[in-house]
Amino acid sequence: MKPILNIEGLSKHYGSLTAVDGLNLSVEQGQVYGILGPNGSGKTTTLGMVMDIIRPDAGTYNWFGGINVREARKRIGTLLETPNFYPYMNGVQNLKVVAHIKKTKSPDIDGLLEMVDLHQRKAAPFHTYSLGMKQRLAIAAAMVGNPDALIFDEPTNGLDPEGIAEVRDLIVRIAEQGKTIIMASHILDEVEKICSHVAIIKKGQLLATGSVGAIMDSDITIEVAAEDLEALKYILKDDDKISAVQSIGTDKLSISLDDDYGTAYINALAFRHNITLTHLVMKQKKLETEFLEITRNAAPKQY
Amino acid sequence: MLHLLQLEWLKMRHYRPFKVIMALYMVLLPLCFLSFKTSFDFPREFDIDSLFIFPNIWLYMGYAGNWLSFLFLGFLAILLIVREFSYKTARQNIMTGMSRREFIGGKMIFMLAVSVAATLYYTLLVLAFGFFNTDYIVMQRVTEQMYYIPRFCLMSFGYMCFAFLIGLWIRRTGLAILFYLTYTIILEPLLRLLTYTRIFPKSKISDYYPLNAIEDLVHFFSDARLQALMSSKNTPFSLQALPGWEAVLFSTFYIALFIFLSFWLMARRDL
Ligand SMILES: Nc1ncnc2c1ncn2[C@@H]1O[C@H](COP(=O)(O)OP(=O)(O)OP(=O)(O)O)[C@@H](O)[C@H]1O
Ligand SMILES: [Mg+2]
Repeated sequence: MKPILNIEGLSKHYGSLTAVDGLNLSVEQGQVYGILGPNGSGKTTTLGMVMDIIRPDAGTYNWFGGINVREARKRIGTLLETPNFYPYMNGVQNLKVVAHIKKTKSPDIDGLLEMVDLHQRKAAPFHTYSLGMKQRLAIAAAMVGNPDALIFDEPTNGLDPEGIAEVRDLIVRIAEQGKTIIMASHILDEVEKICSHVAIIKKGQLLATGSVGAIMDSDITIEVAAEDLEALKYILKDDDKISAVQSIGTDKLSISLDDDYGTAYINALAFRHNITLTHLVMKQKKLETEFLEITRNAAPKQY
Repeated sequence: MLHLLQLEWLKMRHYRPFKVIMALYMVLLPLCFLSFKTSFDFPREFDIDSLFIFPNIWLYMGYAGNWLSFLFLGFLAILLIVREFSYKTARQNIMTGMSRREFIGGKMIFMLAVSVAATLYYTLLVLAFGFFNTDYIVMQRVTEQMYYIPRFCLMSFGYMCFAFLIGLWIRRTGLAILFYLTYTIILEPLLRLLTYTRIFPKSKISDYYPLNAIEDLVHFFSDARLQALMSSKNTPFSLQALPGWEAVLFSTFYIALFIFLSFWLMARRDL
């Protein structure tokens, strides 16, 4: 896997407020990397720093294994926080500015406008666009010059459900072209639907990183009970597919288990040891509970 | 260089205030010049008609342009930078792949191009009016004061660089324009007066303030005859324009300073 972005110890302070606090991250080629965190957790600040519009107070980052940062930015398409365009210019003229900066030879501006479904309005000035259209133009602008990596910061912010679906679909299609995408979001559902990897941050600190699958699904929780709870607990703890066993009250156990295995596995396991289960309920944890749990928990987790 | 200039042109060519400002500049330059006939209180001994013929026309058309460059090109320079912040396109341009130096450098080149364009227009107007008004054309008289051409260019560029720096610093159109006007029209004259009366009494140091140096590149009182007539009126404050070479020297120094500060400010600030 080729490294796309490497961040080490990145920090930013605003007065006494620490917006980003010694952040470490690494994104590899082909990942759709979600940066998930509540409002004000430092997502935009982090992305702003790696795009050289915010000066870090400490730490380093490098793009594509350490090439010149300005050249690196020409290979990255960025939508940070808001779509930023010249309001008096139309979609085509605005994309031409982007292409000129990126020194793109013969950019396929019509194709890009087609892709984001703005072809009809390409001759209208940007300030007449609806929010959804502005957001889509920003995605088209990010795609100018066929970049290797894309940064989308809250790309569905302020859109209606239809707009959200369209933008997500667009991002998924871009990801399918094999592009590396870094997406910041405070919406779990979005990260769950779009991303392959995720970093969860809170108050500028990294709380967890890993593949979305690992973070979301590793902790299927199953509740069990049996006559002989102690014996059950003993065999469960001994099994290597089970990561944790906890007592709930005096008569139930809660177990965390790799998501490839389910209730049938537990049932079979107990049966092999001649224990009859009196209670067996699967409680799939949603990313939401996981997210809340992680953000409440201070120590970083590695999945 | 050309790449950066083209970029600014892409951004500006559809920008209506730019067109309006340039059009007003073109219309008002000859009008301002002609208005000198009526609107200024020249000493009675002064031969007003001499303003409109070679070689004096170089200076007086230039002085009309002095006001226009100060106002219109100054405002243009403020708009040039402030709107990049209000549209957040400065940050977008950087993220898209420019360095901060290129960003400021492109603006500087564009301002230089505008100054050169204004200077060309000024030159054309002088030649047109001059040949029309002067009865006996003597080539030596026509070319005698052509040194006002580069000085006009330096003056226009100087106003723009100063206004640009203020825009970059304040980042709000209204406030920046207000400060630009207040500093130039009120604050600096006050400082000069203070310097002249208190700090370095009766010394020339009060004339070396930046906007005064730029203004004196092309100034009424660069005309020695007029200056002699006016100073006999015994006004309280130095009525002398700086000698040409001093104005050029100090303006160049200040312009370099403004440019340096612009790059410096851009380099250290978050966008
Ligand atoms: N220019 C600034 N001056 C002062 N504080 C700032 C500035 N920019 C950001 N902050 C603070 O830094 C913290 C992180 O902000 P940031 O915008 O990075 O959060 P975020 O994760 O992007 O949030 P959101 O989900 O709301 O976009 C916040 O507490 C914010 O108030
Ligand atoms: Mg944000």
